Amino acid sequence: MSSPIAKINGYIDKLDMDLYGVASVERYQQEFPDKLPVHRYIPDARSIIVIGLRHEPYTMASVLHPEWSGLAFSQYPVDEREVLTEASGLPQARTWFFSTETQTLLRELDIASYKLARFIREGGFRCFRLPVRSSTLYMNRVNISIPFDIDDVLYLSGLGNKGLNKRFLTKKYGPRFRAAGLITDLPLKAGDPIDEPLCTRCGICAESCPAGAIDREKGRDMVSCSNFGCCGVCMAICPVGELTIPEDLKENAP
Amino acid sequence: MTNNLDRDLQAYICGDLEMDVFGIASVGDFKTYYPDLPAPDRFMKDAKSIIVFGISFDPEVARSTITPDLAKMPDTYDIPHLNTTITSKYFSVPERFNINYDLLNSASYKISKWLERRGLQAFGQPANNKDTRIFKTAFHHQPAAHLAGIGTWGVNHSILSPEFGPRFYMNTVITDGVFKYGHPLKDEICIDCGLCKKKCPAKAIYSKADKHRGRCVANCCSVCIAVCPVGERIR
Repeated sequence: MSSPIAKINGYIDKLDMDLYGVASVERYQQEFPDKLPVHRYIPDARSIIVIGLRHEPYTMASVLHPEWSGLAFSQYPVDEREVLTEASGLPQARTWFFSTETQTLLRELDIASYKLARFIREGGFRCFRLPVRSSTLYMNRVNISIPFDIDDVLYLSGLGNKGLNKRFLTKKYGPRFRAAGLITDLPLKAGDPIDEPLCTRCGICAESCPAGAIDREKGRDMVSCSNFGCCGVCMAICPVGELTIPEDLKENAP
Repeated sequence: MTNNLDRDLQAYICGDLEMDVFGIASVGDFKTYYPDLPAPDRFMKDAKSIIVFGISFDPEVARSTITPDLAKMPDTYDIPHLNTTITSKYFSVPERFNINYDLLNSASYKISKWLERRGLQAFGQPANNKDTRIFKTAFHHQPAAHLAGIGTWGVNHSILSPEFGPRFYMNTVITDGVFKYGHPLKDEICIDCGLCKKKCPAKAIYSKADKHRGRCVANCCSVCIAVCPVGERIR
């Protein structure tokens, strides 16, 4: 008979996630004493699980090619276009490849973490599923520290650390991924944080930020970033990670 | 070797992902047949194949377009506390078919990952455009579906498949892998009955080659898809 931990690991393999890590709650409380205690979610919490899915390199590259999204509209003859503009005055979605895929990833993560939480509960343990869409707080232009930041868990589980663009960098995918977290009382084996920074401080993100929100020394300013709106350029251009966007698409960017 | 990859891909898309429609078009064909449209190698330098896959409509939902009373909503109702009136003839097209788009977007993400694991480059696009003025994507799926042998163009400017008629949504993945390509179907599937032309509320369809795309999309009703008599499995 296999142990509950072996069963959970088998189930996570089946979910086919790109990133998986575990942070110990004890260490989380030591390192981040100002944050909301994990015991508020589950009394005997032992571990925090993170699962993640990577962005596709070609979708990330589309962020640097805003002309791609205009291709469909430019196919229409001019007089037919005027009818459309009158019908709805919406500006053209600049990053619709990227934002559509983000929604897809978040939905897939939601489904995976829901299934995982249910599997853990069936094994007789408790599990609290953290929402995947915490970034909406920034979208509402409120720069507050959210009660539970998934980046802290990613750091403690040894997947990487934060870069100049204040995005979490992983060894394999750089900042090009989305993650979800689950708090549980399962005693899983926790990872060791990497303290050596993955960010090379090359400053490419600072140079290419269309909002000018990234300072070479201080990093990204959240307020001017969220005021500009989510563009994803600092994620796409980052050279960190084994899987980066294709070089030819990086060079031809307008 | 190539045959195995072909078979595995088809088994993955039609079996694991439960897609109803599947075909592969070559990039060379696309550039020859449709020289004016954005070419796949604009997005990927070494693009060789376009994988097309689709999912059929819920037939009853498709029918609700021409029978608005199926939606069972009053034409106008008041919301007193908001001090507004909402007018609704039938559910809007994006609301009814959001689930199709969700499934297609997930599928394109999973298929590109499947290909990348086998050492190929892949670009999975979103199935629809978020810009509500145009539902067309930057890379056009329909011409690729024609070349992959999924169906032929109808008077309603959709691809009609022998199985589903125009009642399916599709998405594409561009890849640099080489597969066994499909060929355009020899027989025309459209029976040229002119029903779509007659029923179009925007009077946007002129002929098989010509329609006012602006008026069509501005109206966005999908009546021409619902009334089409073609298709064995869904009527």
